[in-house]
Amino acid sequence: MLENIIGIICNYVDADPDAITAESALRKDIGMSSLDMINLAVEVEDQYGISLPNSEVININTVGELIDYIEKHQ
Amino acid sequence: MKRESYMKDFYVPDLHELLDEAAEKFGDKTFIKYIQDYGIVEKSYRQVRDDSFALCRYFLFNSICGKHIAIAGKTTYNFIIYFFAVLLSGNVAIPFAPEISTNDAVKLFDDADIDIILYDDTFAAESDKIKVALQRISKYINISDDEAFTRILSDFSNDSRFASLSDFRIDKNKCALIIYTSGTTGKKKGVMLSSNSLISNVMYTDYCNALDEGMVSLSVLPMHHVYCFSGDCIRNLRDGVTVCLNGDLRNLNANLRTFEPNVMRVVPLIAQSLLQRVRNLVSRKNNPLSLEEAKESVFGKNMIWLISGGAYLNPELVESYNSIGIYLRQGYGMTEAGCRISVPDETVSFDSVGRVIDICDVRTQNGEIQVKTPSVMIGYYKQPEETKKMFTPDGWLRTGDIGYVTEDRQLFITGRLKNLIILSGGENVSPEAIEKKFAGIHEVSEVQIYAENDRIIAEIFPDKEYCGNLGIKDIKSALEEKIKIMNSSAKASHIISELRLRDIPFDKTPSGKIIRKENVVSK
Repeated sequence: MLENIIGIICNYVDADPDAITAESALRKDIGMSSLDMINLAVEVEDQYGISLPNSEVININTVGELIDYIEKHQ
Repeated sequence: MKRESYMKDFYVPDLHELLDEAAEKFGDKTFIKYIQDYGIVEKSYRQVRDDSFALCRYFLFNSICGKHIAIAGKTTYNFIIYFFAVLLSGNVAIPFAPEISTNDAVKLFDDADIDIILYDDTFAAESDKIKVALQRISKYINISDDEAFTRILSDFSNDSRFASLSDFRIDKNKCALIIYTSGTTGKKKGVMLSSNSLISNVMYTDYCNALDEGMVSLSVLPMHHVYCFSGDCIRNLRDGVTVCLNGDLRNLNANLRTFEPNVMRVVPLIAQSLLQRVRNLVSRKNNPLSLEEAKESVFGKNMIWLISGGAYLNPELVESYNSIGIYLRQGYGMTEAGCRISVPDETVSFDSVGRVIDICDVRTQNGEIQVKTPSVMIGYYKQPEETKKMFTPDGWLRTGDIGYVTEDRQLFITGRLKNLIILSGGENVSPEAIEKKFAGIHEVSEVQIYAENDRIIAEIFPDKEYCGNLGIKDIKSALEEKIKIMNSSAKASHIISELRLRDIPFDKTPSGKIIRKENVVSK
């Protein structure tokens, strides 16, 4: 899943996929804006069949936290 | 209000008046809204007026008046304010697509006698190629430079010593905009529109119920199309509709769920792909959503209306939208008419292109739709001969489209005049009328109808992936079967005599329209 999430992230921001790990912070390390985060949420919802509203996505800090969220809600 | 009484009091304000009226009427309510960095930015009607006036003063202070100003960029707040200021300060705005190649840009800037270029990082305005080729360009302004933008707004604010500069008023009948249209053939032509054309075109009585005060629209289409600019920026300014800026098309889903708009101006392709998302959410294996949930997930809770234009809208798509409780209807127009000729409402039939707007008169001559409207263009820039060809001797604008208008002013378009096939027996065949029949056939990706030696040919680029998924091996036979059914209910002149398959898509114009083959009627 990590690889897939990194793939989605790189669709929206200009980042080096090899430099992203589960510990990477979405905003601080990867430089995602709030618009990028919502785009990511939409894509994650579509692909994983979960609900990830705007109010939740802003509380997610790292790639790993996002994966935890998906696993918990699947 | 009846059309006659509406037209009796018809008055066309200019942008200065519209901004003042909106600031007065809607004041601190939000006019423009967008996502920036980590939050949502909202600009009130008053702020938009003040910022536009400040930038107008900056232009006038720098003797930027009567200049030809090219403007390109993503739809941002800065873009809209710069565009407004160009118009307020008596310059001529020439909006163009930022994706344009450098070579095309040089040609266009040369033809339009550009003095100044307003651009953002989507267009490499300061490339050496442009600088060397076009030495008359005296100024390059990067509109995405927020620091410069903020400085100008503060230096030239209402309280500054320049305040009175924005009292300047333009001549409403002079050329204010040149819009280059590609058309399906030939050379690009610059359509000259005055402030009166631009603004009168949106001064008709209300049509759909989604464009009232307090409603929220999402601006998705590119602003260099006059339809988008005059609708999203000017009509909405007049009516107190909030405009959310989408910026980049790939952010559409994120913006839809963030802003939950009531209305959106779209092209059919966008409507199609959003519906596909709804369908995917309903049919996915993991946690499929109900139709209602899927609709809300894609469009938000509030979507009422999608107003379509720019290309043929398949009635099947309209019906699909109806079934999820969203109006999808189309309007019709052309840049030369100041753009809108007809606009949709809830009551128009699925296959009409809307109701003719109040300010516009329509007639048909030999099948061709012709219009008379106060929003008509001044003419093509530096092309008086081409301009002349667009008008009848008694002054009606030729649309080049074939169609008819009903008593209740609904407009129906059946084809393009120049594509009309005239068979040797004298029958007129509109290829578009036959092509439309293929819209519901998913095996077909692209189709073109033309005549060869008095026979109607259908040339098709099939959707091989779709056929593959369905296990269709002999695509030609499968399509021939479909055509047989089609022919059984067709007029004699509309019967397709031959099917030709293609391996590659048709060649297209820059705007994505298929380049048509010439019709050979007889040897």
